[in-house]
Amino acid sequence: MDHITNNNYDIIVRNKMNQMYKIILIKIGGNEMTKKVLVCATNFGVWAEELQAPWDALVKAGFDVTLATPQGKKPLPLQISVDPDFIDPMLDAIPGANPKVNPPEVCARTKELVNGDEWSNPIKLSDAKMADYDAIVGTGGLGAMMDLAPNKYFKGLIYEAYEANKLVGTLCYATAALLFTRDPKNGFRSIVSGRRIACHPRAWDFEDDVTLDLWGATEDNKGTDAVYSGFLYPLEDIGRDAVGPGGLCIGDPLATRDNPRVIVDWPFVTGNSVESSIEYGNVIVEILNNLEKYKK
Amino acid sequence: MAKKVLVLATNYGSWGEELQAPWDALNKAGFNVTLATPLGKKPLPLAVSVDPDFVDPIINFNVNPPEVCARIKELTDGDEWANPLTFKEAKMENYDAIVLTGGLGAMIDMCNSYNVHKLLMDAYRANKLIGGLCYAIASLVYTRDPKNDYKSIIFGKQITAHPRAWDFYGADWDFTYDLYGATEDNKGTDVHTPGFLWPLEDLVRDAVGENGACISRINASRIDPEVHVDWPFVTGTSVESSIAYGDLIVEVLNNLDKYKKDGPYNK
Repeated sequence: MDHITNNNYDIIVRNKMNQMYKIILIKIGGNEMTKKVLVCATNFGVWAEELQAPWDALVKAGFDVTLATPQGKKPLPLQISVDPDFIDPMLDAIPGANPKVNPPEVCARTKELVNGDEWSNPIKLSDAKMADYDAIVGTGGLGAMMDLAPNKYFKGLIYEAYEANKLVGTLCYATAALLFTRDPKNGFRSIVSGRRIACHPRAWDFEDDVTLDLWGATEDNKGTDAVYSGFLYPLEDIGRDAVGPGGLCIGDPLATRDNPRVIVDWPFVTGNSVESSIEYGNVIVEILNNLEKYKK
Repeated sequence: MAKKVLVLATNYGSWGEELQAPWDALNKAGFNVTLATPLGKKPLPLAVSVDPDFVDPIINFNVNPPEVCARIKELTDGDEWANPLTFKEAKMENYDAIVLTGGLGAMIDMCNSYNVHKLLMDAYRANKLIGGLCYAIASLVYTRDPKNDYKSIIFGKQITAHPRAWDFYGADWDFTYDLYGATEDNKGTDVHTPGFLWPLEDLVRDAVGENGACISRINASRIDPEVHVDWPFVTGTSVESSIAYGDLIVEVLNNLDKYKKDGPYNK
């Protein structure tokens, strides 16, 4: 101790204390900052990438991610959404558009997730409590029009998140849930009245009958034999109605993988369609990691 | 000359009386009535809609009179509904009016059908009567006019809507579409949904806009039904207004000089 003056000793101790204090802060902060995210998916056929991409982004970001479905069963993808050779009939009719919407690596990764255990034990939407999560993230697919967007528990969770000022994300047709969630405190207008949202473009809505055949179906989890007459509702049109004259509902038929369309209007993060799935996941990660910048 | 009327119904479960009552009224009036369904198969009623003991859990009311159930079963068991056209085969130029009928199934295979929208748009442009009852009115909400910035064809109109307070959103999510008279070839769908597929009153309010009106009367009843004419639209609230809906369409078609207003619409 001879060569250490009192002054020096003081500084060394203080530095040591500061280091420990920092470590303690990081530990506390680390726990607080592990955001809890509730991801919701349909049991009647997800569009593979619309669940896979945000799922992988949120998990990779280190968030605590919980999956919920209407029946509490594994969310299975539509067969056409894990077929790399599938040609989207609507995009096929648009000059210059790429109708091959399912990259092989996305199909493979989705099948890996379906065959694995990660999605095996979702909770039921009716058991989820928004108080347990920092954000709710809806994912799309033809099945979502039937059992997710109109689902009173999903709408209830969204309304709770909205009231608690927590991030609400929806992609593609899951955005219908925002239109269907009504605010009794605002004349039963939609919660996105006056807001800016993205949604599946009118020009891409199917016009022919479509079935909901699932990839990886089992006797206990086989989806439904229902045949839709095209899609179940014209999302862009009822979206425009719901946001009203002061809002903006953009179904972007020019969106591509290279130029995706995701719109943030806190607390809402909305994505166009499958081509914007990766961007949708990334934007949610960015916002949850920088809430001081985005939260209003 | 007898008026020609095209009646549309779902293959996934009509609400019995919402097809039977206007059907019987239009036939009794002597019109030439043609039936069309999505698949060209006989439109079967939901089993709950022909059960006289069924009590609507939302309004706690016995909504199916025994004589109505008996008549629906008679029609279902008989041949009158046996050979409908498909929606795709029907051409609006062959008819003077189009009449939509309700039921939960209509939400899946009728309301957003491209072929139904085409029929409705053709009728709208040609200034022909368009009837909508209960949840089938979503078909009007979903039919968009490209010549009016894709607003609904009911924009600015006075339209009835199944009241929000009557919408089914079950205790859990199980809501099945079991049919009366199902056969192997015509069995409907095994789907179950979390109640109704959309909030009709809210969507109608959005679609008609500030200068229109959404009429959702929760005290509409059999003795005081709610139907409304805002040419070319004749609309009715729900099952309790089925008879009044059929009668009003007959009245309007028999007195077009009184009810018909100038069209065509954005031709």
